[in-house]
Amino acid sequence: MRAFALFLALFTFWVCLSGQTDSTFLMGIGLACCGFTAWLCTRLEIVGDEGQPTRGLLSFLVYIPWLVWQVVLANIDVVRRVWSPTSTSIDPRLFELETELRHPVARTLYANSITLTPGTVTVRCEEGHFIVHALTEGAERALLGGDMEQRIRQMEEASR
Amino acid sequence: MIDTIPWILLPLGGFIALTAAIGVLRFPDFYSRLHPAGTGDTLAQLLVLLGLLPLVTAWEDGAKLVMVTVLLFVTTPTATHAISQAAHLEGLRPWTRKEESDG
Repeated sequence: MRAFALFLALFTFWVCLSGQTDSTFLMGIGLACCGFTAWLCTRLEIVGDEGQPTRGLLSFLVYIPWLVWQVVLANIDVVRRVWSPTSTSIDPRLFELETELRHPVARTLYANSITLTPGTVTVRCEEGHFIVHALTEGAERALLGGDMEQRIRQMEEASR
Repeated sequence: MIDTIPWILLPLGGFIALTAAIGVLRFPDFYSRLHPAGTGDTLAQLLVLLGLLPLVTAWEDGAKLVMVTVLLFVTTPTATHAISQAAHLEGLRPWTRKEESDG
């Protein structure tokens, strides 16, 4: 099942890159290559929950637009601070962020989401907490509020 | 109508990229400079690629633009995290407002 999902993803990727949908020969070669790759990955035993977290996919698709919106909001804030005529508008700090996320994919997604929103950067990932650098107190408070973690935890639970 | 979208999004993306460059120059230390650099990685490229989407005619080209966006959204935070963790392990301390008032 996971191997088939991998095969579908590979083939979609291949079709998008080549765009040669009218050539039967090229499509056949693509199908064969993607099938072979999926088979190899199964043999290497790298097809699994960590490589293909397929079960949380639906909630992930809901999460993406929310994340993009957060990125846009955070960007506007950083852009304002860059252009502010006084240099007093930033107040950087390092702080510890507790997290209850255990699943490696969920932890990666959380750390990457934090880094993706300007104003906060994940500096270290340790067991049970991240060390985060925030540009302003507001950015720190937004993370400590836990809204983002809540959304990812729902995804983690949905994928169980 | 659809012809005007690139004319809005492309200059806006350029402006954000310029802001990222200025932010890197203006901010005080390594860690805080990561943040404006992040605006260039995320919003600027998103705006530019979205602005280019109405201009492409072949669907493969559009799909490639979307793929580039997805790839950048995955790889740039990973790279940012890698260099900030390297700095942290080296013991680089972040600039804070308190230190400035002390010294």
